[in-house]
Amino acid sequence: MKRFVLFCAAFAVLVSMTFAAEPDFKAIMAKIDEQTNFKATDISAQITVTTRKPSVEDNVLQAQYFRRDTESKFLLLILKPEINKGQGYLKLDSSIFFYDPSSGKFAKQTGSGNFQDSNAKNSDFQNSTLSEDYEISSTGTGTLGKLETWVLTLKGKNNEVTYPKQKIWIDKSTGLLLQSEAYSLSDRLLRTSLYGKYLSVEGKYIAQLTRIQDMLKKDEVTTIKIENFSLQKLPDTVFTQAYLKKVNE
Amino acid sequence: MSVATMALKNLSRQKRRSLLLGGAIAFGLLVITIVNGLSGSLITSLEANISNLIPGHVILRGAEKTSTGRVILTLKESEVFQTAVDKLRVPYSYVSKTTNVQSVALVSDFSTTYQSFSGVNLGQGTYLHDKLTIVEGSLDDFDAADNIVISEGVAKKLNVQIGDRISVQSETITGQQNVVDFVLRAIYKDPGVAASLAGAYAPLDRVNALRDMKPGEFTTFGIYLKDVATADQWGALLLKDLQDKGLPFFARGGLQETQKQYRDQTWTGVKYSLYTLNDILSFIKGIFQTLNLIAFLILLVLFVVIMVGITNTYRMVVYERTREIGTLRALGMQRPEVRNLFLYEAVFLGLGGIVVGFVAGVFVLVVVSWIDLSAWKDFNILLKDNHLQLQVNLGSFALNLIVIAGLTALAALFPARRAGKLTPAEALRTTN
Repeated sequence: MKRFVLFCAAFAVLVSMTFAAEPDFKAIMAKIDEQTNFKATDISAQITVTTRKPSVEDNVLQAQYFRRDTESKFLLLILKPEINKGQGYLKLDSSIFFYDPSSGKFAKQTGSGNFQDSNAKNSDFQNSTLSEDYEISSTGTGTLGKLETWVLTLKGKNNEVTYPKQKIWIDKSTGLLLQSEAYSLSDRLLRTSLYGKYLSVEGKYIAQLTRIQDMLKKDEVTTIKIENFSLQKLPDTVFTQAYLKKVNE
Repeated sequence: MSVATMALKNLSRQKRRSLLLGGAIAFGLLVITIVNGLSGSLITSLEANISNLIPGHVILRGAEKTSTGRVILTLKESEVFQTAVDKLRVPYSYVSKTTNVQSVALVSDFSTTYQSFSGVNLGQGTYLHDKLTIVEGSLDDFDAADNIVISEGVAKKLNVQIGDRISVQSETITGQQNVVDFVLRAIYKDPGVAASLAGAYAPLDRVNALRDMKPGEFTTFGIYLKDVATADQWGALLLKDLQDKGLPFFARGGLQETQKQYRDQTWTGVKYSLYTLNDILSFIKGIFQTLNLIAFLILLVLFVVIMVGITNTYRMVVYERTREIGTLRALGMQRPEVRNLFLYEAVFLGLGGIVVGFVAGVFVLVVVSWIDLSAWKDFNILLKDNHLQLQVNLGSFALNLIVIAGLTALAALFPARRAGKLTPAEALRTTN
């Protein structure tokens, strides 16, 4: 009887230790959003999107990038190449509008739509909404290079998120997103994204380099480089359709 | 001898003059016959070929708008449409139920291309089964498996052969990314410039799986009419009948107009839109109609010049024949008969030129329609079996005939009246 009681006590301690060691993955996921979203200020930067496809020349696109995370807005104004100059993407609420100065018209696009002819999606340029859009379906650990990571498999909370399933690798030491795999509704791996060169500004982080490898279209890779980062407050008029029209006048 | 016979004889007396004047009229008519024939041929071929690429001559669509503002195309049942079609006794050859996706990525092991994609029934007796020109593979038992049919141009871009796998990437109706694999079962003849309209076809339920729609659902109900020219007429009748049944409809318009209404309006439940082949082709038809109008205006300018020529010529003729007119008048010919003599001459000249010009124009069209244009691949959409269709518009010919004969008579009227007014003594005194 004594032995049984001792066994039960040891088991209980072991179980409680195991559960105590289990981190709060919801909090970890929320931390990704919290660390990369700039709630106290606007951000602006210059981005370079380079897309490599087999048998064609690299497509390099430069744009001015403005983001206001408190209202979940962004504006992308294309500067180069000349043929796309003046085109813009404006996210207001849940809608993304594409502006083409040659027609002077706005066309509604989805977050799931491709950004220009790249492997990036329009939603890649919005603030991180992982904890809002996904729930955790499984957890694990792994390594990415020399870094110890948490590996979370996420399932979309609704049927309007771009990818119904994602697998993400989170740096255990910093809580930053290092890699993600995006899957289709039919559970096919569509792309692998690597996030690097995090820049720390006022306790927040922004990945200065994102590499998106298309896993369906062979040998297609897009890199997004962020430079000339600024936290200056932007006028409200920047996040309007009128602004896109005005800069093209 | 009647005045008309005398007029004909007079024309043959001065062959060179008659040939030059009649030749000018004939040339004008040759040009207008060729332009009308070619534009009519191109429009007819375009209508017939585009019909193969779109889901019907009269098309009905349904759309829902979610609380997040997303528009979802859906038609869950077609009974109400089929009932209306049967009630109105619409003379149709086929009806179709399709799920259409504006743009998908077709991905092979070698390449990627973006096309429109349609889930259809391609079994025996369906419109596409009968109309698509298959150049490789077959449509037999097409609806039974994960088959896909693409155009020659797309097959070349993707570097695929019959039996190869093609992955299709698209958004679901709610905007999620999805991929479904298909096996290339058949390749159809390239429609050239309209390749973007042509796209790829696969069994309805497989495309529904790609779009995360339920089996049996569809986005478009299409009616292929026996006479495509009646599309607008039957479209209007169907719209009225369905509206009378209480179905909510967007205002009539083309695809772009409907897209704008989707964007600007808010509604609950399913709201429908109806458009016809002519709504889709209105822009292209407008170009051809403008071309015809320009040709007609050029013809008018040409005929103004010819009329001036005819007026001057007949003034000369009257001058040259003054003594002859005097003799005729002295022999008892009345003033109106003298006037009519010249008018008949001008009208016969005009009619001769019209007939010769029309026959020459038809001859040119026949010769052109014999030329094999299979090398003209980009414009297959404008051809029928690699040839321009021979099309002669008899209504347009009749109009030209009346207008040109009238103009010629008008041009000769002034000199003819002058000839009629001559007194016999005055005419006989002339020393020309």
